[in-house]
Amino acid sequence: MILPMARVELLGPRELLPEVLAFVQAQGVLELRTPGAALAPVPSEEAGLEARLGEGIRRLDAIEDRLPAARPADRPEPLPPPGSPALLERLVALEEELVSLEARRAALREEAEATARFVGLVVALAPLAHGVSPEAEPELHGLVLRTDPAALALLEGEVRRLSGGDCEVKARALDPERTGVLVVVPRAAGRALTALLLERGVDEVHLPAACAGKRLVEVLLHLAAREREIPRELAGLDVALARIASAYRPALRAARAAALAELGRIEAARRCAETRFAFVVAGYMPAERVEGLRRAAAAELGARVSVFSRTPDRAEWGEVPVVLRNRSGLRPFERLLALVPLPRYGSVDPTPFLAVFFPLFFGLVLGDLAFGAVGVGAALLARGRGWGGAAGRDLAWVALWCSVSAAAFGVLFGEALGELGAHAGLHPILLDRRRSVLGLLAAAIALGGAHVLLGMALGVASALTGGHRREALARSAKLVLLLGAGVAALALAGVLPRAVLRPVAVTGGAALVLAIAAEGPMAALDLVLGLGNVLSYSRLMALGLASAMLADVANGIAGELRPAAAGIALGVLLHAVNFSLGLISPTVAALRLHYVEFFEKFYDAGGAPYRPFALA
Amino acid sequence: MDRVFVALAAALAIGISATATAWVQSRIGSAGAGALAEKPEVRGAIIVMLAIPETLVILGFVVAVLILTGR
Repeated sequence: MILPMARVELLGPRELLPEVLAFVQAQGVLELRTPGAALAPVPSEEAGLEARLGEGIRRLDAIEDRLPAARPADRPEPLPPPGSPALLERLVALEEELVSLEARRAALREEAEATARFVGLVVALAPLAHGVSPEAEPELHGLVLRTDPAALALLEGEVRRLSGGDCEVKARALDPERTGVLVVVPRAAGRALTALLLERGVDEVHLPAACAGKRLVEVLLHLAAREREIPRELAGLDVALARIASAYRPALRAARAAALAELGRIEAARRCAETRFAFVVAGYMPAERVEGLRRAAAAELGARVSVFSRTPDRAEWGEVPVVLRNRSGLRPFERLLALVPLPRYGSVDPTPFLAVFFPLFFGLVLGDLAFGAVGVGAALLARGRGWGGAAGRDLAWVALWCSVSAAAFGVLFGEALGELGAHAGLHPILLDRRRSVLGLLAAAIALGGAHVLLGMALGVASALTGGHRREALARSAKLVLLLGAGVAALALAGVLPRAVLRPVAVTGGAALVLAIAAEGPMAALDLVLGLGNVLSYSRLMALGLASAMLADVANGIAGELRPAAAGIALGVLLHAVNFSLGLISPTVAALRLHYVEFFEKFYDAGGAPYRPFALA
Repeated sequence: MDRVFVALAAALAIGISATATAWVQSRIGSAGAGALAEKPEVRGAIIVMLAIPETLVILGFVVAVLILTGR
């Protein structure tokens, strides 16, 4: 059902508006609406505050993203109030500190990586002395090349050319595939060498800047020292970041929540109206919670604020938010309405009908005891394990009842993995789907007729509830017309005596005239469309027959193909395919029958979901 | 000879309607894929739209059954 809502208005002296908005936000039950046009909206004087709050939330989010996980401190750092310039200044400073720490950490990690790579190279080549004189300020360049003597010789020739022969190129195999190369050149030739390596696409193992100009042994000692120091420095930075996270995170989160609440109140104030002395806060909320709100308002705001409520007029139903409220067993079926817009307030909630007919259609198509049993097991397992969270539990509940229906129809049709059920003593109780195709077609169309007629009856009720008498009259006439067509078809098929044809024709004719009078000539076309809607239910027969036939094909292959193991394997595979198709086709077909054939007769889409003004 | 014509008529009933459904579904499918790229939330509506022209082949199948069963 659609929960009854109430139009609620809170009135009070103008100076109490901020307090009342905070109260309404804390209660979290009222969806705000701008009061009547006769009242002036509250002027917005909070542009600067709003901008500061928005900027604060953006910075708070950025800081939160940078902070590592840490246990909250016992005495967290306090922050200035949200929206204040002081908070923004504090956040800017905090963000800068975090950026600086992160930059330092990134630089240390890069240095650690470079050090590790260069240490490997230098350790391998350290015993090799170089002949470049100290006056020329020798520069070290480390390279790791794929082992290739020809390439090494080429490199050495190029380096000698660049440095005028004042250089050393030493190489030693690091492993069977890689060769470490240390090039020592005078500082004057260093830039040309770097350019050459870049041009040839050779990755240089960069020496940390602190090692520039040092001798090989000194470089080695420096690198060894840095290898010990860098992890300590990194750990120190991590501790500093964790300390900030620990001290500030609770306050940052509280500040974000407070800023969001403040922003919500500024936005809400624009939906309120005021006179010279008073304000009005208006909106919709579930009628059952109005008394609670009234008591809370009396307790917190006193007698200066009054709470008025009334039932929404029909004219305003279009803007009343919609809350669906069904019993716990039916509520999961509300998920099936997710693919269509919510019903409008004051119209019919189709959830109870979906809960009955959706599993019924699904079972009629799948109609197999074994598949139903597998479905029940899978649904119970999914529900028990809580797969997919709340949505998963709901869908598992829907799947459970669909599977129960499939198993029940399997018993009625005498099917378990097709005709294998006969070997276990199953016999058709209702009809044999594989042999009584026309009987199955008649059952599907009869079910469809009942479903469409129910939809039309709901349409009449919905039109009456909405006060649309002419529409209700037209819908009633069309219902009688379709009912008459069904009775005539039964009479022509010999199920009913032919004597009923004359009164049915007279009644149908009168109904047609009434429908045309109420709705115009297009009402006649609706009769044809209604018949088309009913015939569309023959898909239940077609899909069900296809499922039964595929099961028979699987059994036939399993019984006749040799070797027997291959036949059984192929049969099992086909049954698995049939089961998979049996999950998809009936679901889509049943949904389509509801959305297109059933809902068309009464469903009034366009309801807005209920979004109360509340704390985030 | 009659049985040949009956079988041919049933095959035409299901074949033509299946071809028509396939053509319509191809149009809806390509348009739906484009819509999905823009708005993933319309997935459910597109699945239902794809199922709508199925009525054609279902009715073709029913007619074929009626032809084959001699009703």
